[in-house]
Amino acid sequence: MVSISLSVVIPVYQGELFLEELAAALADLKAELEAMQRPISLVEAIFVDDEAIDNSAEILDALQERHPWIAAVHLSRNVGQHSATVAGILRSCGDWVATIDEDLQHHPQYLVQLLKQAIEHHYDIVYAKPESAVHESMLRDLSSRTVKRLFSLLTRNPHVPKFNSFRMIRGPLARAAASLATERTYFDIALTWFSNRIGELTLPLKDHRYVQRGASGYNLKSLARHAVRLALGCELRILRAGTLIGLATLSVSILLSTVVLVQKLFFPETVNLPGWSSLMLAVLFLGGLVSSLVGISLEYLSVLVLQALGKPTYYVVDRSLDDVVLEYFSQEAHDIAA
Amino acid sequence: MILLRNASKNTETGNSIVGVLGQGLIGSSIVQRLRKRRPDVECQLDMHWNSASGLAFQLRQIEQRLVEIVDRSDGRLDIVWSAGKAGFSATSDEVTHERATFSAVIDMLGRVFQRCENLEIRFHLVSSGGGLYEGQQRVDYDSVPVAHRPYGRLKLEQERILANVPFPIDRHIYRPSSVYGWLRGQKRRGLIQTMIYNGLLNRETIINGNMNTLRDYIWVEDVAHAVTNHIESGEFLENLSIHILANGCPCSIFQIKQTVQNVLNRPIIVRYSRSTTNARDTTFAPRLLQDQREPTDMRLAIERMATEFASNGLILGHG
Repeated sequence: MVSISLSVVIPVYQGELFLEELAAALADLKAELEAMQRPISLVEAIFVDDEAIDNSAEILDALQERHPWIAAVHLSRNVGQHSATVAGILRSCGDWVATIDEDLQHHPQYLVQLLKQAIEHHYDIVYAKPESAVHESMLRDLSSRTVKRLFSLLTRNPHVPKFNSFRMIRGPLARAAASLATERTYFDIALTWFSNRIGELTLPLKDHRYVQRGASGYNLKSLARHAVRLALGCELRILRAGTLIGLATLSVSILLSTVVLVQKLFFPETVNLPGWSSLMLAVLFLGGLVSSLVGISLEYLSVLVLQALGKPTYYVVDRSLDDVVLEYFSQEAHDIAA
Repeated sequence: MILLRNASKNTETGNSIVGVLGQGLIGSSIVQRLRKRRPDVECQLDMHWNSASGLAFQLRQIEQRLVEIVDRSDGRLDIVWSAGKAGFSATSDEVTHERATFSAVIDMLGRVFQRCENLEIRFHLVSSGGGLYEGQQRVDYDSVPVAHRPYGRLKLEQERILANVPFPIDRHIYRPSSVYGWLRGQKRRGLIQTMIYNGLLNRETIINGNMNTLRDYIWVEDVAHAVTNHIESGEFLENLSIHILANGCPCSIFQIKQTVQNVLNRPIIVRYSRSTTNARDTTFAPRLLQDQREPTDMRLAIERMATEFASNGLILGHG
C-alpha cells in the first residue's frame, strides 16, 4: 500500500519534565496509525537538543536507545528554537514534517488533523491556531497578536499572523526552506518563499508552562531579535512608501519652483517676502530628492538581502501523493456518515 | 594495487602488510591515511582491467610478492578492495568482468594462504550502500539489500563471494552511502564534484533526479577513517562484519546546490533531466552514527573541495 511518511521535529531546551510523556504520546500515535492501517506512517521523531539547560540530553539518549524511530541530535551550542528546528528538519526524510514544542502544548494527537486539513484543502503548510488565549495573560497574548498583525501590515505578507511553532509542512518544501535558513532567516518567512498555500486549523492549545509559572522561553530581547529577523526576510512596505513620498515631494517642489520662477519673472510685485519661497522650495526639492534616493537605495538593499538569504526564483513540488491520503480520508468520512 | 609495509617493528602497527586494490576516490584516501603509519611502499602495480591474460599474469606477480614479504612480516595481511571500473549506471556486460576480477583476487589470496603458514588475512571490501539500498528510506542494519541495477547486483555478488571464502579469513564489508570528495585527475565524478567543477567553469550541470530527491552523502575521509580504523585495530576475529557508513542526515539536491552556490559565491546552473531512473530517495537512519565517527560537515567539506578544485584541478585542466 502506498503511504505517506511523517517526520516530527522537536527542538528541546528545557523539557526534562515532558519528554517521556511526549515520546509516549508519539509512540501511541505511531502504533495507532499502524493498527488502523492508515496510509500515513510516523517514521521518525527527531529531538534536537539545543544545548538543553536541564537533564533533557540524557533523557533523549535513553529514548533513542529504546525507540529505533527516535533520533536525538545534540547541537554544539544553544542556537535558539528556529535554528534548532531547522537542524531537525534538515535531518528529516518524511513526505510531511511536523514541528512541535517540547512541552506538550502541541499534543501529537492533533497531528493527523493538521495533515488532514493540509491535504483536504491542498495546502503546503498548515499552522495550528489556538482557539483561545494560549498564555492566559492578556498582555502577553495581545502583544503577540498585535506584533504579528503590525508585521503583516508592514511586510505585505498576509500569512504572518498565522505563524506558530506547531506546523505541518510538506517535506520537500520544509527541507528546501531549512536549507536556505541562516541565523538571520525567519524560518516561517523562508517557507512563504516556497508556497502561498498556507492554511490554519483551530486547535485547543495552551502554554501550560507559562500559565503555571508565568515564565516564557522568550524574553523581550529574544522577541526583538525575532522581529528583526522577520523584517529582514520581507520586503518592507515602509521602504516603498518612503520612496513614493520622496518622489511625490520632489515632483511638488519642481512644480512649485516653476510657479515661483514665473511669479518672480512676470509678476515681481506679488512677491511679499523675498527669499522665503525659494528657501522652502530648495528644502522641499532637496528633501524629496534625498528621501527618494534613500528609498531607492533601501529597496536595492532589500533585494540584495533577500538574494543573500537565498530567496529562490522558483521551486518545483510534487503533490501527487496527496491523492492517496485524500481518498482514504474521503472513504473514512463516508464510512462515519454511513 | 599498492602494497604498504611498515618496516619498523617498534610501532603500534607492527610489521603488518596492507594491500589496497583500487586507487580511486576511496582507495586513494585510504592509502593516504595508511601511509601516515606505513610510509614504505613495497610495490605499486596498475591493474590490467581490460585484459584477462594481463590480469592473470599480474595476479601471479602479486601472489609471489605477497608470499615473499609475508615471510618478513608479523603474519598479518590486510587486503582492501576499493576497486571498480563499473559505475552506478554500468550495464550488465560492464560488471561481468569486474565480478570475475574480484573472484580471481579471492582465489589468489587462497593460494597465498596455502603457501604461508599461520597467515592472518583480513579482507576489507568497500561495497556500496547506495547500490544495495537504492530507493529505501531510513536504512539501518535491519534493512534488506535489494539491488535495482547491475551495479548493485555486482556489489551483492562480491559480498556473497567474500562470505563464502573457503579459508579462514576475517571479513569486513563497508557499505558507504553516496561518497563525495576530491581526487586529482578523477574521471568519474559524483554529483557534488560535478556541481563544484561546473560551477567554477560556469557550466551547466545535468541532474538525473529532481530538486527534492533525497540522498545521504558521506565525506570520503570519513569512509577512509572507518576502514583504516579496522585495519589499525589489528583485531582478527575470523568472521564477517558489515559496516554501514552514512551521514545519517538526508540531503536534497536543492540543498547541495544551495551549499555549493554559497561556497562558490556564484549561481549554479542546473538542468534536471527528464529521466527519473535515479530520482528515488535513499536515506539512512541517524542511529548508524553510533558505529562511526561524527560525519564531516558538508559545507566544510565542499569548501575544501572547491579550494582543491580551484587550486589544482582546473589549473591542470583535468579536475
